[in-house]
Amino acid sequence: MSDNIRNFCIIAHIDHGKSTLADRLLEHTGVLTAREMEEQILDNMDLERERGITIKARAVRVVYNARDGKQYILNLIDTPGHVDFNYEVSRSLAACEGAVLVVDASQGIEAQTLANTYLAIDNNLELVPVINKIDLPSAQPQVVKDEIENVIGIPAQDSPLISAKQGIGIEEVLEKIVQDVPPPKGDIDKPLSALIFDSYYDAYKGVIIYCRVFDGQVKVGDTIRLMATGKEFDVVEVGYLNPLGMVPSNNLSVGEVGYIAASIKNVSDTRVGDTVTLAQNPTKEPLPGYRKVNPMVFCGIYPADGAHYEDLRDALGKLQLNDASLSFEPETSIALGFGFRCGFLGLLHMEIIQERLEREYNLDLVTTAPSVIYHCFKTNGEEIDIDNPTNLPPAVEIAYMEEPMVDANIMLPTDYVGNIMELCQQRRGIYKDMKYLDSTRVTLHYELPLNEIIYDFFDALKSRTKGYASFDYELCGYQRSSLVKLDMLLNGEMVDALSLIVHTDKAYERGRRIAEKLKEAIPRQLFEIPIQAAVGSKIIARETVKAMRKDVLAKCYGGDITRKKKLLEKQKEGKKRMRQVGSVEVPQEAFMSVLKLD
Amino acid sequence: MIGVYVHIPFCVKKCNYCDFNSFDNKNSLKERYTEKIIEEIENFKVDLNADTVFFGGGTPTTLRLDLLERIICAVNNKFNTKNCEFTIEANPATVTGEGLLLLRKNGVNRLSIGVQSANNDELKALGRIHSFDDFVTTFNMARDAGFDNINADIMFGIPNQTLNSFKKTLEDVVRLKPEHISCYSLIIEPGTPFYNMKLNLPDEETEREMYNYAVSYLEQTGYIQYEISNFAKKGMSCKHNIKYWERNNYIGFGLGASSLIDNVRYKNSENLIQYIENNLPEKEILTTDDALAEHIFLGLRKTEGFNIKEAEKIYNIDFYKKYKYVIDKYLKLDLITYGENIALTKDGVSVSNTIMSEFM
Repeated sequence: MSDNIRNFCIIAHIDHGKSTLADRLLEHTGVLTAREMEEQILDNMDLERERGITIKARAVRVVYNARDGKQYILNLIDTPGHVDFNYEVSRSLAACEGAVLVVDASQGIEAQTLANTYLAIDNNLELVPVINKIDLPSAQPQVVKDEIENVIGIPAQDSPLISAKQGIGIEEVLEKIVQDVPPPKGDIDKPLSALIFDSYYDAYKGVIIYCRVFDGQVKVGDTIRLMATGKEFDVVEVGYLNPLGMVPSNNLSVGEVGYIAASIKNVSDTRVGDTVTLAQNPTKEPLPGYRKVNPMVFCGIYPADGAHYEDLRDALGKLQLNDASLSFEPETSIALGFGFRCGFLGLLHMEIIQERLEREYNLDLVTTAPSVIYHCFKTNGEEIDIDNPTNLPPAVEIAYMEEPMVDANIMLPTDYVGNIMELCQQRRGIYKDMKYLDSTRVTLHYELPLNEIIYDFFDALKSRTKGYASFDYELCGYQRSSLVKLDMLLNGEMVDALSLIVHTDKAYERGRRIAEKLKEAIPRQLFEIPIQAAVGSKIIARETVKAMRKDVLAKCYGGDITRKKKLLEKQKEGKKRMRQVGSVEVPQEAFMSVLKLD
Repeated sequence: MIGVYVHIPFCVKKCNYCDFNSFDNKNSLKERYTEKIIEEIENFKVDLNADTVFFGGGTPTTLRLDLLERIICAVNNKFNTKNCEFTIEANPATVTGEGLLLLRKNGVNRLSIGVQSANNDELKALGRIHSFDDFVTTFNMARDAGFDNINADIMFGIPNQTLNSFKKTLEDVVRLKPEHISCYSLIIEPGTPFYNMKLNLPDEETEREMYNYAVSYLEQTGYIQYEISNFAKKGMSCKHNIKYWERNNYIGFGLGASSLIDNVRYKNSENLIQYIENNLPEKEILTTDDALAEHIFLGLRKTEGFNIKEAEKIYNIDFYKKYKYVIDKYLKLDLITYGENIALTKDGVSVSNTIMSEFM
């Protein structure tokens, strides 16, 4: 019965045309009329569409009448493309039997192509390579085919040559999926075993679970159990998704992909990777691969106007309903007042959350420099995790510290190798190896401290390679390291929101640059403001914002008071955007400007 | 009693720094403007006595003498101007001895002359059309015509000006013994020719030195500072300007002129043609908060500041309680004094905008 089902996903490097191909596949299978066919229908968050990235996975079911005369049910599971969401990607992949590997005909294989391909291979997926953008003048389909064979090691000579944008070769792709991707296996008589690969909060139905049924079946009225959390819920609705929304059905059976609604209040009860089974007749073993995802990057988020603290809490709570990997807890800063320490999967995740808070919830935010989790071993034998530099104990109490390391793969044209090796060295990278993909491109493998890449590594990489480098990383453990807390002092007072944990060798350089940046960002005030960078009690850099000398009204002429009043009012407005830090007024931008030091 | 301001928006040539409402090359409009302003004066509804009159500009003395005389007469007829302080602004070389006598005859008893600098290169840089000698001549003519209350406007922070050249300007002007000296710092305003020019301006330190020097030099030579930029021999401060700073009632006639009558502000059209053809004054009713804000920032312009008890009574507030944060902060920095009066210190004056804005 499940012989006519094909569960597949599409994997690609960013901008290689994954979303466009998804659109075409849906269009070709006729589930959408032209009018309904909004561009890139799978990405239905505004932000996703604008940035051209897919943040949350979606699953869509379509029916395809193949050339062999049979009708097939195709379940397309969309995956996030970015490294931050690696775990979500891997769970989406685990729900499939095959993956369409999209490679840009002029760009060839990029870092994320490889990273996603390895994930797919890890999950035993059948790969269906597809060469996209063959309509571009710079397309080199044969070169790319060879590259796929040489680098990935899978046959690619008969890969469909397509242009998703122009609608060329779409049917070839569908045929390939039907022929090459194996039908799901499984046993309808076994206890229910379904993999959660996504979930989101719906205001009316509660949490909606997206899952793939591996064994057994589930129907309305069943009591399900989520194995990782042990929680049980009564199923209210099951069904599958077409591109326009949910379509309820009687049951979800072996091999199928669909949704379950069970009046679940909390998205964190439905963890991606968890197994759904039936309370009455549970499966013995959960599906493999489940792990709780932990945030890797942290920063403080504060409302620009303290009065909006509750609004910010509300907004974070709402975002968390749909994003279990976002964590936040209240924190207080002397400089910034009340705010939240938020945890993210990575830098992109952090940017997306900040942007959504500002855009969808209209909040004006001040964010502090991102931090990672350091392991701090104290002289008294205690071990603590530090995600906020302010909480680092005094140096005398610290025996040693460890910092998180990542395995980074950087793919780039050979011309820039010297340049990027230098960058990696500056960032305390440890060279592992270098592989030639072909005569013009190499992949550099480095081990890098995570705290060196969370600031502006990606920007630096792009600017040093004219945008040609691509980059991917994975956490690979902790390493003992010589770290210190770098503090910034304004007018002699420490500003907690500006403190950073840095490598000892970097403290001087970073302190100097931040002091310079602050000097630019802080306007002259009525008194001289010394800006100091300090490690412990030692001042390592100093700048000065000179006192303002002149700020006088011109002649008040002919009784035209109104104009002067407006001038003063404008000046006062400007002050409102300032943060009072001790006696110094600091513009909000100053807290952010220290993040971009290159 | 009320103050009367009359705006004459014409100049021989507009200066490089000027952002006031004034025009050169508008000869053809001068007669129409005169008719309009006389009509505005005569149609003013309330009969009041004036104790100060001020003709400003522009350069009022660039108006043809017979036209100017007609406007002065209209003011004299409308407002009982006997015993008035009656000021007219003039630029060097824009009046003749004959003209000055005519002004005197019509009750004008105070002359304000814009000299700006005693250095001819600096005058040129400012786009002025006269030399320092022209000023001396006009000044002496005014004395001859019987003007015993004369103000000289001078300026510091002029392009290429040095502390020494400014000192010389002060000396040269003081030597003539005007009763009143206004000493302004040049401010480069958007929309003026200076705004887009590369200027060699004295740095802020030098400017501050110039200002401090002016304050002490003028004090030594018998001038009392009564406002940020104004200095006068004993009893000779400008009563009209004080009305602005103390928020007394005043009426303004002419292009873009403002009036304040019992906390209602009016402002005439700022477009010359519109003013002549269909002047529609803007009316703004000031709230207590507006009035208080004005009271503070105008009051702080005066050297003596303003009386706190008086302000508390007018606005029904506890002044210290309301502004505790600002007062404490600036007291600590020695930028204000706080006793019966609140006032800016010498250092406070140079950053007065910042301080005033915090009271807004």
